[in-house]
Amino acid sequence: MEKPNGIHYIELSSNFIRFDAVSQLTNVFFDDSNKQIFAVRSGGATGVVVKGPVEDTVISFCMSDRGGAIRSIKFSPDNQILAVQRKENAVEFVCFQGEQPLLQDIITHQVKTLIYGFVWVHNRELALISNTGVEIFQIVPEKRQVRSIKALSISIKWFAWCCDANVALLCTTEGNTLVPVLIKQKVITKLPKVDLGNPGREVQESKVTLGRVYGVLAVLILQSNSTTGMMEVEVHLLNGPGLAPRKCHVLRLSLVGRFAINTVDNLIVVHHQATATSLLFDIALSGEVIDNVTYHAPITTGRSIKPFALKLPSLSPDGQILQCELYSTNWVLFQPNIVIDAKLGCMWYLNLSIEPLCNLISDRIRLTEFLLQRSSGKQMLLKVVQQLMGDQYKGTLLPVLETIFDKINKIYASWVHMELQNQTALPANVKSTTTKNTAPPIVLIEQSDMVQIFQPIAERPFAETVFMLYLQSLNKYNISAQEELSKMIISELIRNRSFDTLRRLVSYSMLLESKSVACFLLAHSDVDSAISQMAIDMLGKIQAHEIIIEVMLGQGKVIDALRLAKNSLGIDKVPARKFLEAAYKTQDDLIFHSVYRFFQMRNLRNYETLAFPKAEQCTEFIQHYNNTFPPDSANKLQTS
Amino acid sequence: MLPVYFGQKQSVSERADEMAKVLQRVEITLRSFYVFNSNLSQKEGEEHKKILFYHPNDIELNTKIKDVGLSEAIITFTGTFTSEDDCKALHTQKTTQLFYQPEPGFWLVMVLNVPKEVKLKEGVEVADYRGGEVSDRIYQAVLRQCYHMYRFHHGPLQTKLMASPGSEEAEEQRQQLAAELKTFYDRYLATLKDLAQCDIMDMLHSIQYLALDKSLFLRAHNFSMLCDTFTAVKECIMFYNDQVVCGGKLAASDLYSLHAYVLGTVSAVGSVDTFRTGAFVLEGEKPIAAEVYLDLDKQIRPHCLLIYRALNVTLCLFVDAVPTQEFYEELHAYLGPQLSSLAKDIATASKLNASASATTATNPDDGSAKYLFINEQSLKHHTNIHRNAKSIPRNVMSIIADLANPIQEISAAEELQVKTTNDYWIVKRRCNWRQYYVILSKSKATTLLDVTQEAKRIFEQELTDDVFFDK
Repeated sequence: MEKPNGIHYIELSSNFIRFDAVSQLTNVFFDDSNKQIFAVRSGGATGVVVKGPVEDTVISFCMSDRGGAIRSIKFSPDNQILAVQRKENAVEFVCFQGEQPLLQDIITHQVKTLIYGFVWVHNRELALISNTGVEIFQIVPEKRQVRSIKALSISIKWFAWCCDANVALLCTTEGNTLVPVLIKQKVITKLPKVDLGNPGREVQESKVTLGRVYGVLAVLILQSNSTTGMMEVEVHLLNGPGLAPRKCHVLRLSLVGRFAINTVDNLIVVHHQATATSLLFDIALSGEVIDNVTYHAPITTGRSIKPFALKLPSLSPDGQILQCELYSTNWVLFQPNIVIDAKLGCMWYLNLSIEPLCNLISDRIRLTEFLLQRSSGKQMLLKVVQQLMGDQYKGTLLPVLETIFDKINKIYASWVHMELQNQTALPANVKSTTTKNTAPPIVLIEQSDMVQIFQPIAERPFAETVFMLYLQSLNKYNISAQEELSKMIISELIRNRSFDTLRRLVSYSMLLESKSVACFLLAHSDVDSAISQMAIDMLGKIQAHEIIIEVMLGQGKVIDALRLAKNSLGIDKVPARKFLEAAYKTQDDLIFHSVYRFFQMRNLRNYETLAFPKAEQCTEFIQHYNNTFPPDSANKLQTS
Repeated sequence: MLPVYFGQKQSVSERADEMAKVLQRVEITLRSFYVFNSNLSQKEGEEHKKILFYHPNDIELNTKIKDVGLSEAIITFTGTFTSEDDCKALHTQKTTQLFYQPEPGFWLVMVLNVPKEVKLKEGVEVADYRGGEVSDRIYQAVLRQCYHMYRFHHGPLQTKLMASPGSEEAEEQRQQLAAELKTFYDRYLATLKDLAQCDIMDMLHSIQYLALDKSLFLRAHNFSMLCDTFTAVKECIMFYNDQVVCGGKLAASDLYSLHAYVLGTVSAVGSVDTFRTGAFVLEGEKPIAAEVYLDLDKQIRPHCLLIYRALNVTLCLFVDAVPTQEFYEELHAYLGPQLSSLAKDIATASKLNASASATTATNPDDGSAKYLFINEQSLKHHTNIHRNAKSIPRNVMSIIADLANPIQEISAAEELQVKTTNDYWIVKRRCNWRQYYVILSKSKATTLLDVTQEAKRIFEQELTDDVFFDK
């Protein structure tokens, strides 16, 4: 047995539901479609309490005991009709008004067959599964009628129901085949049968579990390995053509005894009663492949569910605490992750505790694959990556980081691509049929998330290497770097004086090209003139000529700026005053003279005079020109 | 720079020269090369001690002493006008002398015989010395490289003479240094490139970076993370054929020296087939583990250089000490598969590039316009001038060398047009730390306007890779 302080990766939810325990007077039923638990006292005469799917949702009422023990009891999805089966060939329907039954209007529907069970497929439609087949009935309370809508005739030994997928698995009397049947409102669709390999093989009801893993219905069949005798779980996924089941995976339990199966967060949890442990399997992880079937070992060695202390209601202030017995014989498990202890009167949801589990998976790449599929994996994965770059950093871990980045970005890229398609591909008048496919990935780690965890390692010696690896990975999946990341990379490269690398990143357009990034580069141009060149190159690429002109004026390169202004703005739009002022500030007479002459020539062309128009407010510069280059001295030069 | 002219500067008019028939032309050659340090001989009679190396060796000691003495005199003389190490070049009728003081007190002097043309003038053979064709700046750079190559292999000169002057130990060290210089330079000068072929690219010490696409560049760049994986590896430089893929953090001069060394070594070790799956380049039986001096983190320190090659990719690894056999094996296991796959991909990519650019390649000797673009920051150049083919006359090359801006100068826009005596036009533009030259040969453009138009056409046609606003 596990020590109480051992590591536990599965726990019982703290938001459990209490109900009246099973006793001589009380019967307890569970409806896994509505996740409702029914505590029926004295056949309903002294009360029925319905709780679920959470503790606070309670319906309680009384109904008369109409003889015959209740076999099954289920509300319609809208809680307005209660279906009760007391006899093996009849179902009663009790209509509700609000939360109270209209006991005078009970409709009894009798059939000639042996009813195995029933399921609600709609607010007013119910499928009856009996030894001769499946039949959908519509209940019309106003007319007190039950109408048959659809029927499928097939002789059935037993059935299992998966409410998430609306699929019933029927075991036929003839040939013991397992036939999945899709039952929806007014429709019954027979799907291809499960291939059991050996035609004579008989599968018991208790060995079969239906669950949904990664959005696909899975038929899980417990069986013993023919050579080792150890138990295995065959996983048949309904993902073939026409939802045909295919045997895709085998989970090797390497144990014998009694098992029960749940699915939690797309993981298959196999509980073993004898050792009181639960094994975890993830069919998305790689395993040994033989004949297109993947053989999986448990993610880690089996561990028990985290012990659960139940605080009993008590008058004393400290209360009384009961350590619940785990893997008790009173436990009944329902799909996907429900545990009910009927004796204790308690219903829990099984949850994954992901943090302890991370410590049990030492292979960081496998851990990444694992976390990328978990609904709560994002924060944990970010933490793992952060640790790899932080305390645990070693040069030898770089290839591992590279692989992790690739795995993260592969998902990120598919999401970016999908979003892009949705934005561009749909003209306004076309009905958006694709939008339903755009559920985000389970774990989506975007650039902004990575930037968050990159921040703390900035300025460490290896930061450049790590950032470049991430950039490479982004590039591999055609994602361009955003502003934050670009700036971080620029900072690191400048700090390490890797100007060559930086230059090539800029020339290959691998960093974001924006005014903001270019100005960020400019801000560092005092470190090396190479940076100034790159910044101007980048501005040139995005045609931000105004900024370049300002930069050049700031650097005192008035002629360069003027040349660019002439080329980009057109000669007529170059503001004379601005350039004359900048030329004046250089205190270089040659530059001032050149600029002044340039504008004089412009004046001559546009206004047919050398003089500046008044509106340009150039008087002070005209004066400066006349003082510096007096007209008579020019004449002297010419004559001499 | 202060060129000092002695003797007669060419005064004969060019036209008269052209009338005479050229019988023979002798190109520029190395006359002598010496290294000296005046501080090594304080007493009279010990003058020979200051000469650390003199090439050629087989001349009288007295001549050597005289030559060195003359150089010292010129340096001192020049020093009275300007700062002490400002003496760069001395032109005489028959020679050009270049001076370089890389470390305080140590001078390297290179004396060149200027090209000469023997002409028949009125039935008499007359030697016409063409000193004007020798570009100081090109050969300054050649001289500088002589020093850098030595430093790359043996470290700074200063560190060899640490003993207090006058002591016996100092004399021993002096002799040792002289011996070391002799071994090094005898070999180096023997393999020195034909001086007549030296051009602007030698002057700039520019190295060509291999143009790769984004993802290959990142792959190649991130290959250097092996420095983190193997902490003993301090730096890792990658070449593809003669082009640089990743220069790491090496100083430009070190990278240039390394490039020259690696090209010399690797080309000697046989075909690509030997390195199909990657192997260390051997020296005899053992892998090369050369001691080289690098200027890393502002400190010149010895490192051990290992050369690993896979197909056409050469990887230079710098480690602290000569590694063990296990380390070689470990590295080989890591590098072999990865580097050869990278090499294959680079080869495929560069083949594509080559076939794309092959269509634009021109015949080296046709009269079409030549161009040369230089990025001062990266020293990357782009040109259709075929090196070592005399597509451009010496005088034009010298003019370009004189026009070229020293790399560290503040960048300002320039636009220049130069017409040479032999009817070449050189159009230069400079902007944003880039220099552009277009060289137009005699036939086409004749007026300034034509030249401007033609140059503009070429700028617009060829300037596609460098994004620049003012074409």
